[in-house]
Amino acid sequence: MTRSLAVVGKSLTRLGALEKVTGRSQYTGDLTLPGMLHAKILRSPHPHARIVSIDTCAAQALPGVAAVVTPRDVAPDTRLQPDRA
Amino acid sequence: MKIKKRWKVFFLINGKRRSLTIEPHWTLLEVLRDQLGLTGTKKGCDRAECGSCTVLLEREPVYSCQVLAVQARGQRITTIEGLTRNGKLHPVQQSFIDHDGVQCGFCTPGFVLTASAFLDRTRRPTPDQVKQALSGNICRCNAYVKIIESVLSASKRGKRIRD
Amino acid sequence: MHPFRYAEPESVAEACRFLKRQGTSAMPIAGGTDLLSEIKDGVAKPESVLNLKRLPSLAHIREQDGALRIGGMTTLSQLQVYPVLRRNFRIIEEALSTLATPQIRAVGTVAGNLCQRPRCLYYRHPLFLCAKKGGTTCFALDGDSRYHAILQNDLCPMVHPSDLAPAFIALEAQVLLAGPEEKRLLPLEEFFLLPGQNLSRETVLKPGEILVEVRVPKPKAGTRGTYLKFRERGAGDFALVSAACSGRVLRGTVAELRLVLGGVAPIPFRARQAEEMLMGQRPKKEFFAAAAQAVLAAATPLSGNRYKIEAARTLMVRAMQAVLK
Repeated sequence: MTRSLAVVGKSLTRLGALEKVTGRSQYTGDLTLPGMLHAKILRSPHPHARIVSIDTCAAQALPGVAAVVTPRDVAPDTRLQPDRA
Repeated sequence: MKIKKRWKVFFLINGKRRSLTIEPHWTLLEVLRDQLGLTGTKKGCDRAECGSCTVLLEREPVYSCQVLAVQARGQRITTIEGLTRNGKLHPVQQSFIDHDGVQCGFCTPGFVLTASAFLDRTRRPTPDQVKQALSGNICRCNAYVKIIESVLSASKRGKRIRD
Repeated sequence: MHPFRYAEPESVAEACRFLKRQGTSAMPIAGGTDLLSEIKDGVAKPESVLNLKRLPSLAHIREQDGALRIGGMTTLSQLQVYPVLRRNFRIIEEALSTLATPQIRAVGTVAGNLCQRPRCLYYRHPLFLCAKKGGTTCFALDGDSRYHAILQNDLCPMVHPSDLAPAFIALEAQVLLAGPEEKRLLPLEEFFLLPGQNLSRETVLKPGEILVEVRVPKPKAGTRGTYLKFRERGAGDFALVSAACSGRVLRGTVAELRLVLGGVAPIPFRARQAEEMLMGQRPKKEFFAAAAQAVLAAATPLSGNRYKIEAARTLMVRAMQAVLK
């Protein structure tokens, strides 16, 4: 082994360290893309309850709302299934 | 006394005067990120616990997520984008690179700003003083040992930066 | 955060008049570290918010004949670096060093710290309509009571979260309240209300009244003080139990003693029984332990907070040992 090693045994600067200490590093929440929409999840206010119906009219009527998605908008075979393993 | 829903304000951000119209319930963090595009300030917990959103308000570190922007009108604000001068890193930034005080980097802007304000006031801090000064910032990667090393090393560089 | 209107009064009088006129729909804001959490959590829903922090007449620290006068809008970090603190008001300095984080101390104010709302998880949760918020049930009494009161806890076992309050009371501080018509000065100890006196509020502040100044008398020569605090995290955490103690030993016997506990009752709890037992006695550890025991004989712990009895006993004894020598 005469060839000197490029990485092993050397102290290297972390990749991206400069971007991170200057705040230039882009995280998911920092991205803006053309046509980007924002989603908000509405969670149940009840710890244990049965969903009888979902009325999305008021949410749909808010200015700027592109879509309100409920399980009805998802094809049954692609829904998340309970783990049966 | 005017009671208003919209306020026309200015801030002195990183040495520059920025004027805009804001709503009173917007936090300083929301104004910096969403109105001014300064995304180096991070939104972590949004409840004054994690320190990712730390900026300097009149040279003191504050949680920008828990300060109403309108309350800070007219004041001097330093964000991570303003710490680098003419392309030259602040000693704390250089030290975080040299001592590997960075992992995922999400908490880094907050830590760097908190540390820079602390070193402006404390010339030769003890490790314990550094820990106390950084106690309002959380690093989920758990890089604390290297972060403290970075700040102690920066304190020995002895370079003070003033607005 | 839900939207609200915002105003900046030009004087204390204007602020008081506005707050009185608007009733509960308007809320004063200082540093906002507590109020904004409440608004974000949907617990407070003000229509308008009134910024007191820009009132220059409330941001002073002055010494008058050795006594300290602290404007309500003084930030905790401004108070922390006030030079005379280390010499004569050690309890305040120690309390501040354990209080919150540098970022919160930079914006949080002295008045805000004394007027902050309880941290009870049920109270802070938007979906629990607890008795304090006008409901019929206290969920903590039968629920998670880890952080709750062991004394005076029958109606609402909230604990008062302030670190400064026990420290100030141990120093016999007074508070100056300004209202639309008049000002009044009262001992800080009388500023706080038990849930039995008022379930929805924690202080004697009337509509339109604000806390404008804290006055701390200069301790007599030879007085010692300390503030001790148990907490889960080593930094940035509220007290599980804390003890503020101020006292003086003269010619081998206890000449003065004030012992105030945080984290054990809905108000800062003055351990008068211990004070009375020790006055005129020689400062000995057995007496301290007996006095602490007597105070805690009245404790009525809930299912999750029995540990606070031992913690309070330990802190009281340690505080008295540090002060009475």
